[in-house]
Amino acid sequence: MNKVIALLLTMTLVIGVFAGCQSEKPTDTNSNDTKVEEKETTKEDPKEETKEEEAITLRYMWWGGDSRHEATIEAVKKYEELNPNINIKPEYMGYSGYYEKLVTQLAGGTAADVMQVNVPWLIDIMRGGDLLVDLHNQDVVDLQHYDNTFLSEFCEYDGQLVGVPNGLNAMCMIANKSFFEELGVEYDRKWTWDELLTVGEQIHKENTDKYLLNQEINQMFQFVVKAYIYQLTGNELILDDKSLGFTEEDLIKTFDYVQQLYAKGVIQPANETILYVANENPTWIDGNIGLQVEWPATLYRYMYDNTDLDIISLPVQEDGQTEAVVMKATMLTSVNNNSEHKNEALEFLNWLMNDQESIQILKDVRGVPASSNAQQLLVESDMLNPLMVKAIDNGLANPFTSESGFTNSSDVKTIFNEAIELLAYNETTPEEAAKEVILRLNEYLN
Amino acid sequence: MKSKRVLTYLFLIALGIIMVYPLLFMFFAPFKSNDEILTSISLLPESFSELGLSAYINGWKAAGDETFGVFFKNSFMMVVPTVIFTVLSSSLVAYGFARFKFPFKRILFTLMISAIMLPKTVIIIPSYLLFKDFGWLDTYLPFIVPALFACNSYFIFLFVQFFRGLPKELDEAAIIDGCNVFRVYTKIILPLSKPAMMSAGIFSFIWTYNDFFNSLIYLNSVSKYTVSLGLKMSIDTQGGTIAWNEIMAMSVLAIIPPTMIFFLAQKYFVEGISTSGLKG
Repeated sequence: MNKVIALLLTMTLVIGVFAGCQSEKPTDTNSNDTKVEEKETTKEDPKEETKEEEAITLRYMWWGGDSRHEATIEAVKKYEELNPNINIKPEYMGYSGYYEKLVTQLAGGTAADVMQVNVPWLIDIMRGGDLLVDLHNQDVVDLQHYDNTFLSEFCEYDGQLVGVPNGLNAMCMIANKSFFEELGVEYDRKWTWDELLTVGEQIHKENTDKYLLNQEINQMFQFVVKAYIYQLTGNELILDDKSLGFTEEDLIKTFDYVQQLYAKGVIQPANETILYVANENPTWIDGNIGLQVEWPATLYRYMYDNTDLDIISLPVQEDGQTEAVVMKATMLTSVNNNSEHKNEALEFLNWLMNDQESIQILKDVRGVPASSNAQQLLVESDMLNPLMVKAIDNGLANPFTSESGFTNSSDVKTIFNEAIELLAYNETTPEEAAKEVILRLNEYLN
Repeated sequence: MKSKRVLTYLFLIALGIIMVYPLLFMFFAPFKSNDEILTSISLLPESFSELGLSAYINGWKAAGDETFGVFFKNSFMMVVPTVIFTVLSSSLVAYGFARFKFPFKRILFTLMISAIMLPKTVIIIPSYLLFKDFGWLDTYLPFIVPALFACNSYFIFLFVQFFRGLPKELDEAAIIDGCNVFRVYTKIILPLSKPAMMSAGIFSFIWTYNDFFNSLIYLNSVSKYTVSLGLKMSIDTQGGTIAWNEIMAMSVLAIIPPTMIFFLAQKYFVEGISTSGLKG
C-alpha cells in the first residue's frame, strides 16, 4: 500500500513539474520568451507589425576589454535616447568562450540581433546556413564610405556581405625605438626578410640578452610563414579551387627561413617564448627586443615603460612576386538573419557605423575605422593614434592580397603550427616538414 | 633520529612555500603595475602607496553599469539553492540505492554511474536546446533544477558509499521502534551522514561557484553575470590592454567565500566514518 502511495506521489510531482514549466507564461525578463510572445501576437494580428509605438528590444553582443565596453555602452545609451521606442540590451564579455557561445546560440536559434563576429569564423558559421543577413540585399545600412574591393575581399562569404567591417588592419611591424637607439641601428626603413636574419644574428651575437624579433610560436604562421609565402608567390595559401597556392620549393624555402630565425638567435628560443603571449614576454617588456610583426590594432598591448613604439612596414622579398601587405577587417558587426526585428537591427547597425556621434564615441576601440568618413572625422578631431593610421596607409598604398576561405580555416593553421613547432625545436628539416604539410593539406582539402 | 625529523620539516616547509607562492603573489599583485606583474616574480610591490587600493576600487566597478557587488549577489543566488538541493536530492536517491531492493536496481545503478563518465561537452548542446524550449535561458534554473533532481551522479555515488558503511542494525532498530522508512532517512541516516553532506556541499559549492563555461552559455544579461564571468569579462586577448591588477584584486575577493566555507567545514571533512550509536 505504502509503495502505491509513494509511486502516486512521485508521479504527481514529476507531472506537476513539467506542467509547471509549460504553464509558466513568459516573463519580461527573458528575451527568448518575449520573442515567443511576439510571434504569438503577430500571428493573431498581422496589422500590429507596422505599429511604431511598440517598444522593441534588440540584443547586441560583443567581446572586448574595458575601454571597448565603456565606449560601446555609451553609444548604445545615446541611441536609446535618440530612439525612445528602441531598447538595446548590451551583452558583453571577454574573448574567452565568446566563439563557443556564439556558435551555441546560432545553433539554438537564440543569437543576439546584432553581434560582433571575427572574420576567420565565417567559414565555420556560414556552413550552418544563411545565419547572417546579406547586406547586399538591403538598403538600410549605408556602405558608400567603405572601399568596395575591401568589402568584397574581406567581409564576404560566398558572395554575401555578411557584416560591416569595424576596423582595418594592415600587417605591420611594431618597433621599439629605444632598443635601436641604444644599439645605434637604423630601423625606420624598408627591411627585407634576409636583412632581418643578418642584422638579427649580429645583434644577438654582440648582446646575448637581446633579440631582434619577438614572435610567439603561435604567431609564426600568421606573421612570418603566411606573409613570406604571399610575397614569394603572390597567391594566397589555398586558392579558391582548393588547390595550394605554392610549390614545394616555396614551402621549403619558407621553412628554412623559419628554422634559421631560431638557429641564428634572431628570435628567442622557442622554449622561452612558449611561456608567454607575445605582448607579455618579459624580454619585450624590459625593452630587449626590437621588432614585432603584428596587426596595428594590438599596438596598445605592446606599450610599456621601457618601450617607445613606432610602426614600420612589413619586410619584403628581394625577388618576390609582390610587396603586398596582408590586410583584414579587425572584426565584423553582423545582423542575425533570424532576428524578429531585422529592420530595426539594420538601422541600429547603420547608426553605429556611420553616424557622426557614434563615430566620435567609439573612436578606435575596434581598430582604425574601416569607413573613410569615420577615419577623416577622427583624424580631424585628433582622436586616432597616428601610428595606427600610418600602418593602415602603408597597407592601402600597396595592392593587398586577401585571406579568405580555407586559408583561414583552423585546421590549416593547426597543420602548419605543428610543422613550425618541430622546426623551431630543430626536430625536423625544412624538406621533411614541407612534404608532411603538403601531404596533410591535400588530405584535408580533398 | 632528530636530524631526520628536522630534514623532513625543512623539506615540507620548502614544499609548502612553493605551493602557496602563487597565492601570495595574487595577494600582492593588485598593488603592482602591469609592467611589474609581468616581469618580476618578487612578492612585494615596489611601493604600496603608488597605486594604493585603486585596483580594488576600479576592479569593483567593473565595465559598464554593473559592479562586482551584483556579481557576488548573483553567484550566491545561483550557488546556495544549487548546493542545498544537491545535498538533499543526492542523499535521498543514494538512500534508495543503498537500502532498498527494487526491480532493475543493478541496471539503473550502472546507468547512474556511467553518467559520471559522460564528458560535459557532449551534453551541452542538447541540454541547451532543452532549457531553451523550457524558456530557462538567462535564468539560474539550468543550474538549480538539475540539482533538485540529483543530476550529478558523483554525489549520489559519494552518498551511496557512505550509507553502505552505516550499520543496517540502526535502521532495523528504528523500524522496530515504529519509524517508517522516510523517518529512518531523516532521523537516523542524515544525522549520521554529516561528513558526507559536508563534503558534497563543499564540492558542489566550489564547482558551481567556479563554473565558467556553463554560466557563459546560459546567462546573457550582464546584470545576471556571476563572479566567474565578471572576472573574465574584461580580458580581451584580441587587442587592448588588460588591467591585470584589477583582475587580481577581484580574484582575491572571489576566493574568499570558498576558502571560508572550506575552513568552516574542515572538521567534518576529515572526520572518519563514525559508528556512534553502536555500543557494545
